Amino acid sequence: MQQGVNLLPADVLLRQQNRKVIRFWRSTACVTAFCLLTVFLAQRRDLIAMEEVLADSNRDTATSRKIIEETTLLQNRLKTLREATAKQKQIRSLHPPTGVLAVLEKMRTELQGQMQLQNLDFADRPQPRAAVAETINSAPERSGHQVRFSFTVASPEAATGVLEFLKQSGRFTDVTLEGSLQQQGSSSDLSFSVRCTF
Amino acid sequence: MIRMTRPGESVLSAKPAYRRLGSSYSTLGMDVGTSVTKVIWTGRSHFGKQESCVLRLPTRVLRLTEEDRSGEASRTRPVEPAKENSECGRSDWQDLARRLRAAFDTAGIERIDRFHGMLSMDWCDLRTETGSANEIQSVARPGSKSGDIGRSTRRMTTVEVMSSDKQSEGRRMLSLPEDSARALAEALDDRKLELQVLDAMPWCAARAAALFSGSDREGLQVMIDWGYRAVTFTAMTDGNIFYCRKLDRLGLRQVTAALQSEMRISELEAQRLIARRSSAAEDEGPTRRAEDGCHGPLVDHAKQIAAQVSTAVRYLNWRLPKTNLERIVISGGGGFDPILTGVLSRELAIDVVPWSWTPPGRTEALPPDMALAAGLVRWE
Repeated sequence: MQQGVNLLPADVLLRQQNRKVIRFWRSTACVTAFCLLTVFLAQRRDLIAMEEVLADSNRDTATSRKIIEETTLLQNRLKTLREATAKQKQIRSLHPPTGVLAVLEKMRTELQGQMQLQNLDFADRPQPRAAVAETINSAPERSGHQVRFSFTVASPEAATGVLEFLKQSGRFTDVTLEGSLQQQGSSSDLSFSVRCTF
Repeated sequence: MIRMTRPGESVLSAKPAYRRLGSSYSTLGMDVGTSVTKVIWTGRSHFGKQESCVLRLPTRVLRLTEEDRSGEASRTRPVEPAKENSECGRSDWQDLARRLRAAFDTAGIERIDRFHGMLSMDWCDLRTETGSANEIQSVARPGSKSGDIGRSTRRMTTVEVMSSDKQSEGRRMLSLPEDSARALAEALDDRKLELQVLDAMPWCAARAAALFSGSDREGLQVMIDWGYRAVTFTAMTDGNIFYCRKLDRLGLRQVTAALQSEMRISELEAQRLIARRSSAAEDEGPTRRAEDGCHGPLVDHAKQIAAQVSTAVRYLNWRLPKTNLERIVISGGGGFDPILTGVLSRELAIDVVPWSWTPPGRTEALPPDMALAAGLVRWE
């Protein structure tokens, strides 16, 4: 087919060409700006992602620190528990049949009875039998256990009477005088200890 | 063989890549005639369907007087021939661009990838020059300081039509006033219409003939464009321009003037009479009688054209003795008229057929006056 001609003046063609160039560069600039914006957004997204990772890391660090602290605390508690358990085992080894509570209860009872009996003054009491009975009745009765009672009396006869009373009370399988009568300082009172076995 | 060169050829010689990819872009061809501007737009819709649109606008708006409107002019005022000056002023181009923009908006033409225009032969000068092609181009291009070979300095934009005949030293040249081309381009540019190509009539006629006959048609073809002011005779061999001749004072304008003087009517009424003849359904009664009155001037005019065409055909037979001219294709506003085709057929003893072509996306064929606009759509 016959090719055409173009009779437009050269300056009109040049102006059109310039417009084409301007449009080209404008479109190119738009495309470039779009690409740069895309890259910028991608980098910004990466930065945001990195910040999130750092934040997660920091959060993990704080969590780890807290876990370590709690672990240390638990370890200390475990150590304490182990020590307590070891102590309990030791105590159990000392008092295998009754256990710790029985031993403690026994110790408490022994102390209580000892204190009560130490304050007992037969010399001032008109009815020593009742006092002694009250004392020995306050002690808990357990088979095989021993209780030490301390008495202060005014005379050796009174001490003998106490021993007899204890033996005749029927609560103890064995009543043994520990040591001998001891004089209380400058007074005439005599003190002695009796070990009673239930 | 015809070859053309043009100033600034390299500017548009390289097609953008997107234009080489396919026909998805839209093209607008605008044939600016002396009387009517013909426009064809082809493109694709949003759904990919091929579409086309045809528009006709008066190139210059006729400013009617009250006498013209009432018909008094034909009875009271002596008929005066119209001015021969066909030059359009800047305001005329601006007015045409404004009306084109409005017509495009009304027709829904939103996208124009390629805008090809053409000014009719009234604005062009066709002549024969001697000398080499380089000499002619060097003196004819704008900014040349070697003279203008005796022509007016206003005719600066010139293209060269070189004959393939080695024996002939004369070279047919077509020139166009630079200010007309610039004024049209700038007026369109003001309306956001970028005219990319301003072609010339013979090249458009060659492509229109190829559209009508098929691009693979070989041999001699002749196409006659009967315009408002002139008749242009274009001969093609193997699809390329071989010879072009402008038959002055044989256009429809002369028929109009003859009707004016014979029937004592105004120019506008004479144009209306000729336009009515192109309609298929002609009315009976007073209109029919009035048309009978214009039969004689039309026949006389057709005989004058036939005599000129016969001379040109004899010249072709002398230049190309081995070729045979089978038919003549006629286009332009006069291509509607059966009187012209009948008289030409009888006088020349050659089949004369009106041009027609059905563009893609249309069911009906385009009439002969749209031939050059169709050739512009196929600008390469």
